[in-house]
Amino acid sequence: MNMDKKFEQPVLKLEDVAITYKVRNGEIDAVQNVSFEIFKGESHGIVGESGCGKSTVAWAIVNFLGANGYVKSGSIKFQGQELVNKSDEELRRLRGDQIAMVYQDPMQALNPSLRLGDQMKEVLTVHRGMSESEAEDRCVDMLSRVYMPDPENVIKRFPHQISGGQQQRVVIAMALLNNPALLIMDEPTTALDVTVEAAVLDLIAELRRDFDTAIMYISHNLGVVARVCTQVGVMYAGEMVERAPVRDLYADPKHPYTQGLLRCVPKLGGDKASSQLYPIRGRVPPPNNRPSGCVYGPRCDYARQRCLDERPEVRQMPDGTSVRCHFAEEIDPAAWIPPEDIKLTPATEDVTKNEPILIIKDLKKYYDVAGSSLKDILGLGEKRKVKAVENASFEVPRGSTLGIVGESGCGKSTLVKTIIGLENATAGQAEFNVEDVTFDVTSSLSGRDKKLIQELQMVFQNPDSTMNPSYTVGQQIGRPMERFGTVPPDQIRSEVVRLLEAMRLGENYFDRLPRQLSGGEKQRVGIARALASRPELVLCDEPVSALDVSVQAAILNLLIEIQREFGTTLLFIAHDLSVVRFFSDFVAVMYLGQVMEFGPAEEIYQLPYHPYTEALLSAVPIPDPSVTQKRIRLEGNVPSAISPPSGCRFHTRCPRRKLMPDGGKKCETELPPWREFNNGHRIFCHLPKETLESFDPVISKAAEPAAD
Amino acid sequence: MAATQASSPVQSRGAKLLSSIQSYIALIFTSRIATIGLAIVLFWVVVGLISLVWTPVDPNASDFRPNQPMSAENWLGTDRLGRDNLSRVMAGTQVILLKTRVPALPLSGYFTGLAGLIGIVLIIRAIPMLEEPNQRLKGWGNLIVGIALIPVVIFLNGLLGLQAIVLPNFVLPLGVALWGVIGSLSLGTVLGLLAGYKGGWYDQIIMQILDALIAFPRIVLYLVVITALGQGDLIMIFAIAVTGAPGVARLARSQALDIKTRDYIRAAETRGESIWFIMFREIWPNAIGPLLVDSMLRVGYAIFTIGTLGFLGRGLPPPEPDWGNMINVARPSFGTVPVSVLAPAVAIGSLVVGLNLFVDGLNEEITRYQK
Amino acid sequence: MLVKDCMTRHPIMIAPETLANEAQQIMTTNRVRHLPVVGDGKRLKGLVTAKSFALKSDSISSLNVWEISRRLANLRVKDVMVKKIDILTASANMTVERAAVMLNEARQSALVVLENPDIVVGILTEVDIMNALQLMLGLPTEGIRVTIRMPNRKGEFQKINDFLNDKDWCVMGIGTYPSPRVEGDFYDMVLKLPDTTIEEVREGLGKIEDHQIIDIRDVV
Ligand SMILES: Nc1ncnc2c1ncn2[C@@H]1O[C@H](COP(=O)(O)OP(=O)(O)OP(=O)(O)O)[C@@H](O)[C@H]1O
Ligand code: SF4
Ligand code: SF4
Ligand SMILES: [Mg+2]
Repeated sequence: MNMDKKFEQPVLKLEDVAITYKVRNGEIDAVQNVSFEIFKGESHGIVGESGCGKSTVAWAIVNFLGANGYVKSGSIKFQGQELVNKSDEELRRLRGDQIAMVYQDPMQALNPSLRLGDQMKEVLTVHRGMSESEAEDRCVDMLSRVYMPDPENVIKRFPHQISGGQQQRVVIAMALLNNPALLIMDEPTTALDVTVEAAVLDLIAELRRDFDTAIMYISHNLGVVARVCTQVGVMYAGEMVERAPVRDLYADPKHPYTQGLLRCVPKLGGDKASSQLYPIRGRVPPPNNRPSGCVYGPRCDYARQRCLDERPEVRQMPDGTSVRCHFAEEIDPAAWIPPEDIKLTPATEDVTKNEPILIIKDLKKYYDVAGSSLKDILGLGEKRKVKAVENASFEVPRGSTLGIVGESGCGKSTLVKTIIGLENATAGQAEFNVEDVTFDVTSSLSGRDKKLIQELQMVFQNPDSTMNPSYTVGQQIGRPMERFGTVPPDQIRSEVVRLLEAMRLGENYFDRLPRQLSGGEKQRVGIARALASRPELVLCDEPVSALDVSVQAAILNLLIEIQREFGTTLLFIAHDLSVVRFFSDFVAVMYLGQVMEFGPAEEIYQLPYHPYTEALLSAVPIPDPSVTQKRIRLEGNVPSAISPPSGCRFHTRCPRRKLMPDGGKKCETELPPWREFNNGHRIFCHLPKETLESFDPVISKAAEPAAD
Repeated sequence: MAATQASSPVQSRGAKLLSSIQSYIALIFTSRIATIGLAIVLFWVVVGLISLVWTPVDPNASDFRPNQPMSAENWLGTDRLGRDNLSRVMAGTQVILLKTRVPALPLSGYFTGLAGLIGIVLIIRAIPMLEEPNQRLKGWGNLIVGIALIPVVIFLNGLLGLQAIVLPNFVLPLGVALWGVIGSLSLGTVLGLLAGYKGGWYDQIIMQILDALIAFPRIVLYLVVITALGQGDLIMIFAIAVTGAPGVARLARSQALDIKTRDYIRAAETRGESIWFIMFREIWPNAIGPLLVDSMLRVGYAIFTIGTLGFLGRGLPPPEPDWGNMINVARPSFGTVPVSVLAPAVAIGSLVVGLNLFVDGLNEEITRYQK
Repeated sequence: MLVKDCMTRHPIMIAPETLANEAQQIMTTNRVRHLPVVGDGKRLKGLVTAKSFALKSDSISSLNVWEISRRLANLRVKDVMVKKIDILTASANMTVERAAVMLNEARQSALVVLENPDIVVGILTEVDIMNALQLMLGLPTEGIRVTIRMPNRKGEFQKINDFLNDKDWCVMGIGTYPSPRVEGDFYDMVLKLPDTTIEEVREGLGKIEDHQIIDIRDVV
């Protein structure tokens, strides 16, 4: 009931805050001159790339900066009272039950050896002296408040017995038990799957309305922020460069960095062409090496002499947004033309009609699970299997890209591992055709022909573990050439340098060690290493999901260019449908080991949808508040792959099952047929073609605000 | 975010190495404890080096005035046989830290040893081959040749009369404690990495055997080995290596278990690298840090053990003085000339404590700023 | 409308040990006139209002100037607050009218809203009740505010309802009360109608039988 903010005091107000960490050789100014305020019932987003100080701000508010961090200057006021330089006891009293924090990893907040109920009750009984039974009632209430299924039962379980999304709900419920005035959330959904994330985000938005809690929401994901926040502050290199109401920020970003960020993220709302990405050049400067003028100067397309000389102050624009840029009024993002070096040349040839290089037929991969009963140990028990991949079939034309999408645990990584030979297939055929030789890909690595090994290479997810810390970039890229003899030994160096240049890295990276590289650079080296043996097929397992958006865009563009230059075929795994869209020629959607939908990329994002794809599309956070998504939320959890549901594996959660004539009995018992549509688009579902075609589109760009 | 060091591309490798060594040295000096420890250790190393060229008196020469207390002539008194304690304590560092005496041995012994090594290498090579269907035959071949090698070589030795040719005594640089630890480090690393990386049956079997070894009281193990094989520098090295290996193996295994989950190991596997390449080129360089720190502690234990065994009369053979033995010999006259016991005891104690301080300080400093 | 819909949630609260002048400062900087005093777990202990700081003359008459200022400097919230038993409290599910009556009868300006059983969840002040009244009468939106006088009998409201239905108009706010200062049994009804004009309203509502427009204006 915010009738008038004029008379209201903010719950949290930061003024000119600077935060510093003491390190071995000096101090790191992690955050400088940050000011913002959060009012009751408002959810204030803080976005920015990794290392720009988002978490540091949150820790400063709750006084968790650790032994070496402190607030150097400025003031942090909670409900009008200063928090900086207060003694611990005073702080405890001030904050008391009024501020709660939720972290990215729910296990950080949960004690693995205590039952969930006991942990939750403790908050109430120890602190508030509530009686045991009353506390229990309240916990159950709160759990059902956060839509925890079967809360009476859940409180008797241990944290590891519920899924990650449920753990996060417990943590949120726990934070709300005290009815705090301020809730700080640091990437609360980053570790969750998109469908779970969507449910948690709905929950957060709802709780904000119901409890009038002020929320500070930290995230690197512009889409998530667009969905839950009312105000957004953009941080860059320890400074807050822009702050505006959510709609204004996305519709009319004023700061060049905000504009750049928005051009780096794929938008599912527009057409395929609009999901072209434009990375920001350069990278975030480390805190001890920030430029003296505008921190964004070296990367800004509009930088002028004044920007290098003079640090811009935060200025209030006529429409109320505040921006830290000298020229914010003059800059018109609509007039921006992509610089030549980051623009992607459009594809010239259509590769989708090429002959297939990889043919997968009915590929299966089961893992044995070790039981824990005595019978199992003696080997008498029934052997149980995790059915990680079930009857996958598809073809990939030479030079094209297949995107594989699905939530965690759906078997996409297993599929790729089986193809590359890190795992043996349990059954099925997989053929790889190169130079008129057909290889059988179901064998294990040690049984494979050296030629085949050379032709299949992989790019990994985690930039921090993709490179061996003990060897230089040059050594690591050179090794595959040495091993497969693709390049004569005396030319290895020049070949490595050529690859480095193709990765936009340059020769001076040759002798660097991994610790001297940023995440994006490591990932580039990982790609170069995969390409070094000149493979025909490169499998990429979420190569960008651990990277910042601007880096992500650069890597994606790089992969496309590389593909065009070398004619490589790509298999690209992603968990989020927006990333693969403009990137892939074909998309396979997987659920619980089963390919549910397969087809050319455009077809996947248009009607008809598989009911699961429809749910995925509606869950993807879109960084554009003016886009409306149909709200489809899946019930329950992904079932266990040990005993997957019979019939259609999706039937336990399928929101469309009720459209079946007999209420979906058939879905429970019979394996669905493949329904064929245009251009090889096929959907694994019992629903008749006409029904599938009659759904409404999930995403629509509507003028009026969402009303569902 | 990795703090990028400003490194210019023209910087040569050597200069880089130098700067990284410099940064390590700087690291040591930031910790007071490590600095003190290093000073103590260096003190003994210097004393040992001096003793190689000069001691106040010849450490083995007797001046026929036994059990003298401290005096201007013999600063630390003399022992039961009238030898100068100071010179003996100084020279005592040699066998531990600076030199290993290899006794005269028939040439056949070296050949047998070499054959044994080749045999072991063949057997190790056979392991991965046995797993690959198309190389199984070759694997069995290797295995059989490896096992057969040793008796065959022994037989050939006899036949060729190599027994008769005897190589003279000689001295290897580095002392018994150091070689022993190098031995346990090598053996333990190989076993630990193999168990950790391969997992499954390899892990089960290797770790069971090592656990059985650990279950024995150490000192008993030493005594068994020495009693069975006799006294000698090489045998002491062997004993230290064997008893230390299980501990090293455990550490190496846990390192391997951690490192093998990294993506760069997957990358090596998808290049079809052999397991030895993966173990020694990919895993080992990243596991060696903690293993080295651990080894430095082990040098301390080894010195202590040599002392203990010397005290029990089963230490390093004469004539070079051995601190443990010195204590043992001087024990009966402890009441009258305590310095004869105390001097070598303090020497052992300070060297071990110095090493421990150094390692602790270093460790603390390394982990301090890790997040 | 219930108390929970119009109370101020998360009021600023203070601990009993806080210095009194610090509390006073918090009240001025945040422009609030009531501070619930709570112990651990937000359990209500007392309430500080502007009046709490008024000095009681009998307690200081015997002291000299220095003693008074020292005494004031050391005064804690717990020394000046209204004790818990003297505070008006309500549950969040009470109706606003009821809460208004309570405030009126007790001649107080604020009610502390508690749940199970003494944890502070909000505070309801006169200002909040005023806000509620404004909202009920559709204040923040622009429109035509019309007061209609009608006889107190069945079917009268139906006539207006039918008319609104015909025109497809919506109502932003509504309120009724017995007509003041008139002879006979009449009720006045205030309606707030958006997107229309005075003429249209006169044209329509003015024509209803037995009804009389006694006031009409274009307001915000
Ligand atoms: N304990 C610490 N000691 C020294 N420096 C630190 C410490 N914690 C953070 N920093 C540095 O402070 C800067 C800001 O870090 P912070 O964790 O706040 O970033 P962030 O925006 O939350 O990033 P992310 O998106 O990766 O969570 C970084 O340069 C980081 O390396
Ligand atoms: S101040 Fe200059 S460099 Fe900085 S963002 Fe604005 S235009 Fe770019
Ligand atoms: S087969 Fe049935 S349960 Fe499966 S997706 Fe289609 S409608 Fe849903
Ligand atoms: Mg963070």
